[in-house]
Amino acid sequence: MSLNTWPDGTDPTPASFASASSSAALNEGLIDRSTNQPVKRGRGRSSAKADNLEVWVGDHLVHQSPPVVTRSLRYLMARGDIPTRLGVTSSLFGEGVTAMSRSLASLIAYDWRESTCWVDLNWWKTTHDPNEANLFRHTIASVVEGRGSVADLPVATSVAGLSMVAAGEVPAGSRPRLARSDFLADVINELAGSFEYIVCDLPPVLASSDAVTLSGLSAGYLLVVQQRSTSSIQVRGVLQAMNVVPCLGTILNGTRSNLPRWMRTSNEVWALGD
Amino acid sequence: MAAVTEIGGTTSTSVSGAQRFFARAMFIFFGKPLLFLLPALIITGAGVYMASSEPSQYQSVGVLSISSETFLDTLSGTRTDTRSFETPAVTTARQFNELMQTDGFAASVIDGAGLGEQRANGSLTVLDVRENTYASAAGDTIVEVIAVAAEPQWAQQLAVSGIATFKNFVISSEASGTDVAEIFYDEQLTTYKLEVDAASAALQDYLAAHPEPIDSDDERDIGEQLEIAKLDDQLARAQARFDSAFDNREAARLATLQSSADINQRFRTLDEPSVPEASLSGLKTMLTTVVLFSVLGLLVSLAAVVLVSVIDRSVYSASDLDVLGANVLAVVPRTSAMKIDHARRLKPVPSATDVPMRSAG
Repeated sequence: MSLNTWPDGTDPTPASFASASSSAALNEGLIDRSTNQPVKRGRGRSSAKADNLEVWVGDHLVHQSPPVVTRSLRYLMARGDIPTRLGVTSSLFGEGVTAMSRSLASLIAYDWRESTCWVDLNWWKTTHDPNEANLFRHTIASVVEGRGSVADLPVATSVAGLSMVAAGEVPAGSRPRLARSDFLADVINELAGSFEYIVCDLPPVLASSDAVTLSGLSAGYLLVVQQRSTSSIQVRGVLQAMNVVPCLGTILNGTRSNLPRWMRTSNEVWALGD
Repeated sequence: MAAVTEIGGTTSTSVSGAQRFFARAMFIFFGKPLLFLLPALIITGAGVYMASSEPSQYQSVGVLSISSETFLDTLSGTRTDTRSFETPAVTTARQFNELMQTDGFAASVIDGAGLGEQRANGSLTVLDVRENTYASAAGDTIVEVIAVAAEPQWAQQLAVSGIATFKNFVISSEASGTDVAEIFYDEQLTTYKLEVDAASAALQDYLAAHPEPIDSDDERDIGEQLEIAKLDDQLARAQARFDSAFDNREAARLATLQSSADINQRFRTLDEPSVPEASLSGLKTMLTTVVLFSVLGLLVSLAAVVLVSVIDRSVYSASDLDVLGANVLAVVPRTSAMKIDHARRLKPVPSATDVPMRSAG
């Protein structure tokens, strides 16, 4: 199977990304949006800014993954045991679940050339991008209300094979019922029938008990832990609470080390990022 | 060595608890190094200030040789029991330091040093002298009398005065009995002298009033003879009392001299206190003070790091998660490049219009 075509022989890659099929772009996943050309890796600083894996919906940049992020997540993907339905959650808000899940979904779509759908199931988000909300005509919430069908939910992105589904606005009182509803399970099942991979953005476990219920829609979950922000007690609490599906592992996010370079030895116990 | 595994292009390690704690401590310290070094900097600064602002101090030392027995002591038997569990030097140093705690002795030292005027105007207090003048045993028979003062001359004078005052105190305490006897007999001798003079005058007056007969063959009247014999006896008795008192006074004076000589022989000054040429607070002392304060400050900083490492349960490293049984699959460095500039707008980019659906086959 060609990396650039879907099984049905169609080429899902937008015309503007056709040139991205070059080996350099495939290996690096780098597109210079200013020229829509594969990025030629240079030695200077100027190329570093363009080394982002960007996800656009229409003319709106909804996500970008810098090389340091994609490099780390590719090690995760290299293990090859990512289930087709994956949940990503955290202990508390602000640990980077949305960013990690979007980066992971875009990498699966881009590197593996598998159709992937990022599904937002986090109605508890406290911050919303108003511009982004306008990009999604149909959301899970609107489908629940009878406005639109499941087929209307995925919104294609600039990354070939990657689609996104927005959560929409659900009243707080209705969220637990929706999380446990068969309707939501049917929505996910229907999406799973259309995409190879479903990556769900789940609410924080310690912020909402619905995270445990929603995790049941996936075959396993990844726990995002923000360095210096999350305590080991909270992580232990999440691992004990999330007993519906197996924990595939954790992503230690936002790591930073101020150690002098001469102290960064081979038996250093924390992960480092330059 | 810990086993090393590569995750996400970074390093994670299975480590022991001690290694993990050390690593956390290092991580916490280098996270905010200035904050944790602040106590060390403050305390070191205080040490530098103290070392630089400390007034100059001068020290003068006199060395005494202490003997428990002297030749004069052996001859005269002045002291009969010199046995003690303490060495003579320790005993002497202890006595000196105990005496310095008394206002009278300390004031005597000051006055003996000729610093009474400074004591009067407050530039030198009894407390200062008490704290800075002391004796220390430097062996079984060697005692150092040390005086520290703001002026080199004062230090030397106080050391000399301390030794002299101590000797005088010992002399006066050991010869106090003979002193009293001497004074007593001095008073008695005065009285007896008056009696001798009075008896002598009475005899002389009587003889003048009653001269001997002109003719040598004539004898005095029997009444005169009896009166002259009576006055002569009175004179002889007064003279005998005077002579006895004089002998006793001489014995007392000799005992005092013996004690004094004995004490001077027991406390021989080997090194007279000299005027110090250099102050105590030299560069070495300043450096010592600064180093001590620096070490103290570093210990406080270290304690702060350890305390925070114990209290702070935040996840710092992959090993912290490994301990919880949460397998770390990726480590993502902190980067600001994930933030999207919402003001960024580009010309519309052709995007996929159809959702790529998996084929039924």
